[in-house]
Amino acid sequence: MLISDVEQLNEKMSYGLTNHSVLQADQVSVHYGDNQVLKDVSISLRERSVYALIGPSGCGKSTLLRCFNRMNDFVETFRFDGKISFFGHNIYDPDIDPEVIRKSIGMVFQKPNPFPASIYKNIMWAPKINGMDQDWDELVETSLKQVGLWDEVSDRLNRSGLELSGGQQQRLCIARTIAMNPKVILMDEPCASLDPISTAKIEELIEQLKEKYTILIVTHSMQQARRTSDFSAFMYQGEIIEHGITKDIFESPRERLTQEYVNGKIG
Amino acid sequence: MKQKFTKKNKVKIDETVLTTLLKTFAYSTIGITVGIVVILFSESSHFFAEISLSEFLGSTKWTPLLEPRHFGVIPLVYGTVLVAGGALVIAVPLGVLIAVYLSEYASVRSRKIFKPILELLAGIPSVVFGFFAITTITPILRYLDPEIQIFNALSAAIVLAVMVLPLIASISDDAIRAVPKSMRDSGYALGATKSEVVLSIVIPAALSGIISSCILAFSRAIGETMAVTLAAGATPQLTLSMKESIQTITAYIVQVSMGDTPHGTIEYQSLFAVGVVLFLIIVAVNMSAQLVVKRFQRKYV
Ligand SMILES: Nc1ncnc2c1ncn2[C@@H]1O[C@H](COP(=O)(O)OP(=O)(O)OP(=O)(O)O)[C@@H](O)[C@H]1O
Ligand SMILES: [Mg+2]
Repeated sequence: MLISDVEQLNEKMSYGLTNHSVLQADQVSVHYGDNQVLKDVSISLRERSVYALIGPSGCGKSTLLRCFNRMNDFVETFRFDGKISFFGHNIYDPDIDPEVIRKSIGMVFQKPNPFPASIYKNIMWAPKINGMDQDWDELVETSLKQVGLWDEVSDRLNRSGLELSGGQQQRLCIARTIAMNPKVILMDEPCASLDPISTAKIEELIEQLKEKYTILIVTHSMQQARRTSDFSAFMYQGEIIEHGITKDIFESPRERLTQEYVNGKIG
Repeated sequence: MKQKFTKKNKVKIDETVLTTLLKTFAYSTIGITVGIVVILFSESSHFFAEISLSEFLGSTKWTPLLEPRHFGVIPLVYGTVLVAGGALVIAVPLGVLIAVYLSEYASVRSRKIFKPILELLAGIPSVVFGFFAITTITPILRYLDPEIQIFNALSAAIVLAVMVLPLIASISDDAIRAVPKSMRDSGYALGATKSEVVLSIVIPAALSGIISSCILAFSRAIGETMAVTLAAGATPQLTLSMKESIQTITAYIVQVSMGDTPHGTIEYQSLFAVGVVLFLIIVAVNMSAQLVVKRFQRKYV
């Protein structure tokens, strides 16, 4: 990494940590029934950056990720305390519809889950039900181009999305998310079910997407976190132990636990 | 060494005995089906020796017990399809709505109350439904519209609808619940509301199951006997009005089987001829159900 890059990152960081953050979790605690899975988690995400969430299995990464777009609302035993602000609005405010939040904070799942419909319909489905009126051909084309899928599928837009390979399906899911023009994209282990080449493609894509979006990615791969993210947060048993510039987290962590985890001693 | 050898052999023999036994039972169902089909067709051949196929399929009068006799099966097929189709018109929307409510909206508690009641409804003997039709449904209909006859197709369609409702509701409910959570999640994550997810993701994904539940319901309604005999009466006729009495294939079979029709007469043989028709209709309906399932089947990863 060039020195200028680091400086830029540092500048970005101080800038973002004050009041230009897109998404900010404040003292978030989550219970499933009596089981507390997040303890006083605070983190701030700023514009156009990639954040990696790392930590051993069961430490609460997915739970935290799903708090940001209120996907945990579907779990009956879910209880949320604290605050998450999205451009200054508390997304857990009783007056706010979770659907509105999810339009601006998209999500990509571990297993690619395109709709059992054509590639074209996969892209236009969400904008259409949300009453957007636009040139669908153009939307489909730009969305697919952004994920680098256009050249691969432009001749079979009417074929089912399920006929694509796993990696293509995952990029289709990202394209579908982008078509809603979100501010933030949450990704929960998006490459967990993909082969190395598809993984590389998604990582490359993340690099490009951060020019427009804030990305929060959960990953079990240290290499992936290092390659794709600007900032990383290490979670352990429901707490964020340490977060900061990715390079620092991996090369000079302040906490012993972080060091042990990134060196593969716990996990 | 020898000991071991015999032991193993014994296990093997047990296996063979068991397999043979299971095979016998399995094949005996095929045997029974084939037997019934053979009897149906061979007996009806006596009928067709006297009545031409063109009379049977072409004439619009079915008066086998009255002079002048006519043996046109169309009125019976029409009566059958009329009440079964009428039943579907009522039962499909209701059944699908119930299924959607049960699978997507009902709380665990109301589900626990609803499901057993539906199953109970499915277990009521059909003669009770027939009795219910003539003692309750028909009087209500006649109160609402005095033109309606004592025996009428409408009452039969309504009672059939009640009978097939549990079938549609519970198969559709299973189909809807089989739509994977990941499919719903993808809709929610894109900002869709619950009703949008249900209407434009879940129901389309469950469509093959829902359609096949309707086809099965149709085939059940066509084969239903007691309730339609009691409610719709025994007047084979081509009428557009559901206020009048009609006769279904099954009701005709009951009528003749119950009477003292002598063995070997043409009336007696006509039973087998209409039996063949009923059999062919049901085979066709069930085959179309399979086609639909295949055609609409969505593969989930
Ligand atoms: N729907 C749920 N109901 C109850 N408990 C849950 C639920 N989802 C997760 N948990 C619990 O919350 C804790 C954190 O789970 P979470 O899925 O957030 O972990 P994770 O860090 O994403 O793990 P992994 O790396 O294996 O995906 C776990 O102990 C898990 O058992
Ligand atoms: Mg997880």
